[in-house]
Amino acid sequence: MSYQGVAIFAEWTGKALHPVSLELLSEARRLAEELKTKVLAFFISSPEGKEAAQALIKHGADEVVWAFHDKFSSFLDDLFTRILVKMVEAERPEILLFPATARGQALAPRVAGFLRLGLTAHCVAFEIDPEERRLIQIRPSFGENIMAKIISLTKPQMATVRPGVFPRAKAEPARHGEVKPFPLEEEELKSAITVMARKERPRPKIDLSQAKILVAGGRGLGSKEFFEKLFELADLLGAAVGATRPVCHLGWVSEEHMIGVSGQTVSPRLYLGFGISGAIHHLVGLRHPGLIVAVNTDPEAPLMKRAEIAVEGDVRQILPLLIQRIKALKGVENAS
Amino acid sequence: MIDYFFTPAQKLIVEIADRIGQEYIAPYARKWDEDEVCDPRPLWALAKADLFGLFIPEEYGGLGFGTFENCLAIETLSKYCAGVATTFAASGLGAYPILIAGSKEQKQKYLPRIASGEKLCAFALTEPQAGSDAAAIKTTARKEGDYYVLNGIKQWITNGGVADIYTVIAVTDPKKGARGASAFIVEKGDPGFVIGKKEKKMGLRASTTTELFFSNCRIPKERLLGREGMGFIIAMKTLDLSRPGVGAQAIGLAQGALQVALNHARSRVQFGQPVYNFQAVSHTFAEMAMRLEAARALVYSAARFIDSGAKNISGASAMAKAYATDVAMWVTERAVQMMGGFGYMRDFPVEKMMRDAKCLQIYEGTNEIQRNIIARELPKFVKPLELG
Amino acid sequence: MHIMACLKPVPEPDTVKVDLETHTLKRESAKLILNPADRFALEAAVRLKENTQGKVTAVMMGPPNAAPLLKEAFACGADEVFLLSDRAFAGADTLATSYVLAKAAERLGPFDLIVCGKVSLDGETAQVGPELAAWLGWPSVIWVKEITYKDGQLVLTRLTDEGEEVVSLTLPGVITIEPESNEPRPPSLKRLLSWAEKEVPTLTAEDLAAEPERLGLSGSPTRVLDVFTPTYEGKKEYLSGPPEEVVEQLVKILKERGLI
Repeated sequence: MSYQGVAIFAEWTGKALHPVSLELLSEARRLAEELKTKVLAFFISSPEGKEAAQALIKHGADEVVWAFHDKFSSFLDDLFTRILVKMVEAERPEILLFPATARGQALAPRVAGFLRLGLTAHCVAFEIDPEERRLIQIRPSFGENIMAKIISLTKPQMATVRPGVFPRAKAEPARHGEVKPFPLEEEELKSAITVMARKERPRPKIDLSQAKILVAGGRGLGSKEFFEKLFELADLLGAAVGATRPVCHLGWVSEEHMIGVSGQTVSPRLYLGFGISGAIHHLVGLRHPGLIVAVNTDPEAPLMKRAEIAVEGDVRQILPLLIQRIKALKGVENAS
Repeated sequence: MIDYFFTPAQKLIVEIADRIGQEYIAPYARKWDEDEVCDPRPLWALAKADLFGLFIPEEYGGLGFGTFENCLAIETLSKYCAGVATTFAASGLGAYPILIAGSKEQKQKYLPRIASGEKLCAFALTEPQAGSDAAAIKTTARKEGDYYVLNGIKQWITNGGVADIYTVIAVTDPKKGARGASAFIVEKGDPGFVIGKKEKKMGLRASTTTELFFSNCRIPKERLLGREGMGFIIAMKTLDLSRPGVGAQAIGLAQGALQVALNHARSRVQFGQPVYNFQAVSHTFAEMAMRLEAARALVYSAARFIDSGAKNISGASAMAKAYATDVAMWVTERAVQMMGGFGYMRDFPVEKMMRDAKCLQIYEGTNEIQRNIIARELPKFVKPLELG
Repeated sequence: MHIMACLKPVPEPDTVKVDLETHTLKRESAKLILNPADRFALEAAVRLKENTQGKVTAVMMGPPNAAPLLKEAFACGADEVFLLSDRAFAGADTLATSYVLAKAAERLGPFDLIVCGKVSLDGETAQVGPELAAWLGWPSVIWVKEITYKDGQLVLTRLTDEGEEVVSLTLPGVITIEPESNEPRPPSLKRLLSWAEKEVPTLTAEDLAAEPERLGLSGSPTRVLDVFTPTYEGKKEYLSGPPEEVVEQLVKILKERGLI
């Protein structure tokens, strides 16, 4: 039996549909139209998800395969995998997309592992090879300035999709489709995991996507302490602080500041990058930026090539001077 | 520029100390200096790496290396922060009296915990009225049955408050002067033992320096190290063993300053070229490197001399300490000068190095006292030479 | 508790060279380091072992020149270490990699827990941990930042998109550790000296009784079709010279454009 349809994993936060589900739907819709096939949404939620299941239809799904149970208000990795594997076996989609969220990243590899399927992580774009009905999955690769086109020899062709890359699907009230409740058997509902407590992040997650000015730093800043100067500069400019992945891994700043793959996507009017070489992992996070300024000792660094204003020099000298200069400028403004 | 032919184990010690410097010290050193905090994290890392046990015998949980290996660790750490190196080295300083004069029971009780880094150590000799004149100490230890009762004040004690084990020199027989001093082990929490205020220092601010107060501090008589009256000898021997470590601190510190300043001079452009191209600058660096290498050679030689089992080490030890620390003061001051305004700014690391270097010329015996020692020892080694 | 810690050798970013013709990574030119995120995983495993009087077995799939990294893992507290190395493993994607790790878990176990780093510096897929769990049929919990162990139950704090959750996990299971959630210890000098010149034990495909068609390229369902360098347009202003002047020019441009 052949594989049919483009499926997405529609994510339930425990209370509501995760908005990233709509991003997946818009891309799934596009892919399905190219392949002239249907869009499926695999949806696992508590019974309150009924309206969300309808919303999935309005936003582009042709069929919603909906498993619901009170237990599903908690995310249980093993149980959700078991249900998804059964959904895949029952529906046999040719493409299956997950959001690269916490839940998506927990589930997609489990499903791929159980079904012995290929899986491509953190895709930022897709193309279709119509003859082979093949999904070409595009993702940054190898830490350098390279994008890779990857295909999967198994079906469904699985990928996780970076949040913030695709537009959210718009609701079309006239759309119709079918919500199919997925049969569950009680003994399948066991899990080795019990959620005991849940704590929402106290302050809102640092949202870099809305920042008008972004001051970002990389390993070239040399130390955690020096990295903190970026916050000083950001305060002066009314900017947000972004960081590259290695810097977050070094513990100079929390991962909430990370731009790029597994971090945030930003589109500021002004982006100032200090000591950032510009690995593609970071660069993919710059969507439609305005002016890019790079400061680096190495004129060959990819970000220096990408930048509209490339400043060659030692960040450890330039950053303090820039802070001083802008302070002086502000002083003049305040005085006048 | 010179290869000192380290053994594989010695290379490993340098490699691990360097890694601790890079990962656990370098990113935070300036902050610790600014905030004057003795952060437990680098000490935890040093403990996990077994470096506190370098010169403690294997039978007591250490690695059984000598002064030289200890110097290599201290030198390497000092490149990143001489303050952290001070805390590390001062714990070794506090352990020497136990190693020198401790009984088997005392060694078994204290050394394994010092070697593992579980307990930090401190050495308490200096008093308000007894600095360079160490024989003038006034702290007394009176024997009362199975106890000694200590009274007095110790001053400028490195690791005061952060250490758990203190080796304290106190007078048991006031009539005998220096020969009436004895050495004791005092533990944090002993009754009548109080840590005094933390000093505000010019440099080495990542290490803690305090007063210690003893007011009717009762300790069991088993805490006496060696015999009554041996205190001063133990103290002097301790300092003979530890002083090359101060020299090692000096060369590590100077090495760090050289690296930072040289990098700056080669990238800083003035008059259209890197300032390193100007002879006044490059010759200064040549001089810095030369003096530093001479100091290193002296420190290494003195440490190896001590490890050879030599008996009369006071002169060599004093030379290594005084010469290397004088060089460090000069090199760090030049490093500030070579970096100009950057050198003077607290955003850059060399002004801290210069402040740190100053203390090395003062503590564990001022460099003036070192010269007294060298001069005192000189006739023993320098025979008259008669030339026809 | 017997814990397996999975480690990965990755090329040190600064030493990686890219072949400009083929746009592939010249792996042989790169210096190998322990994947930074895996240090936190190893530390978490070692701490858990210390609290439960257990044992940590560290495994790493990689070329023979990755062996020194396992010596380091031993020095950082692993009780035993194994290099999983075979020409047949070459070209493995995450599915084929996790298969080899699963075979190692069968061969070296039984384990109560398998600990992985959150993500690797080079591949950055974060897939191997949960895929390994799938091969073994075990549960998995990712992005774990705190671990406590009580009466055969592991209580974990995991990061979620909304915040944090405390979950209990009935063992055996696989967890992936959030970077920066602990402070990894440096290698112990004593342990390094005790290792001396010993060889790191190596397990081959045969030692693991692995099915050949599951290994390396043939066991990998994904294929890289092409790699390309994205191009960006934009006209260019290049500032260099004395920092003071450069900063002056930069501030001027930013002011002119009304950005500051």
